[in-house]
Amino acid sequence: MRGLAATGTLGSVAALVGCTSESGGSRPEADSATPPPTPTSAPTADDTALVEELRGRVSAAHAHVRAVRRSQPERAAALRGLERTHAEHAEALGGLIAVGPPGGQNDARRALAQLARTETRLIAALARGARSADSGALALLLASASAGLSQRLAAIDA
Amino acid sequence: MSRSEESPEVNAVQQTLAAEHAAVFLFGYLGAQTSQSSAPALFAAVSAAFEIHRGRRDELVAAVSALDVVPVPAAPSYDLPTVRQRPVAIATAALAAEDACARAYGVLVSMSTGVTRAWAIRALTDSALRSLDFGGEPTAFPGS
Repeated sequence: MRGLAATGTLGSVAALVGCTSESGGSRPEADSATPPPTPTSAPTADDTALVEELRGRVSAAHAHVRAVRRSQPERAAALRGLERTHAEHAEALGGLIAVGPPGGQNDARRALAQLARTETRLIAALARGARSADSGALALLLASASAGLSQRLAAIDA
Repeated sequence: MSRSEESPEVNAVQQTLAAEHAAVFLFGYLGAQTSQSSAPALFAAVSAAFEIHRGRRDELVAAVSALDVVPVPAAPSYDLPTVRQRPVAIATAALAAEDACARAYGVLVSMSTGVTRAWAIRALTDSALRSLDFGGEPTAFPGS
């Protein structure tokens, strides 16, 4: 049992792989009521790079959703949940990075289709990251984020 | 006990298998409590969940056996919720079972590598999506 075992909560992963939150949030304490899962290994430099890459992708998706939500107020309620999910994922990875929205897409249907593709690619990227992460705790965070995003998209489609 | 039986990954697989045994038992019971005519969507969701968890159980039994480890057996019986054929109670019990399985998959993700981890990632996403069929709400981190 190594590395993350004592503090393997989701919120602590980014801090453990060396990321800092822009919001300056402190590392959450381990939940004493629920023993954290034992990771398969300690985080590595590869994990740090993986977290940074995915943090950027999540931040870009967050900016994308926000732009579409603002341009399509009739879909604001549904998209706000997706935006919130991205924000929570980014927070777990070290915080949102300032990213500009993607290029303008004036047609509402096309904008939604483009957003759906962005989200689908992000779900796949998070799952790939979960498969390749050296740290078990990071793998759990990414797999869970991928599943949560899938849930959110399915709920919007319904 | 062999070395592989003591490994954290095998222990996590066994714990996931135990969760699947419980899920198969519960969804079988819930299927018998669900009216196909008056609650067709719920019946379909419960039936699908039963089939999927039974398949997963069999996959895990095969995976553990392939390691020359004895798969953890099902319990003789499990505590069952009182649902009295009420759709809301059935959906609530089904949702709790999916959440329990999702947590088991999450632990397995964190404790495994390679093919086993990939299996657990797929199972986690599938379980998270199926929970929506039983009235679950999207969460940022299902299974954690």
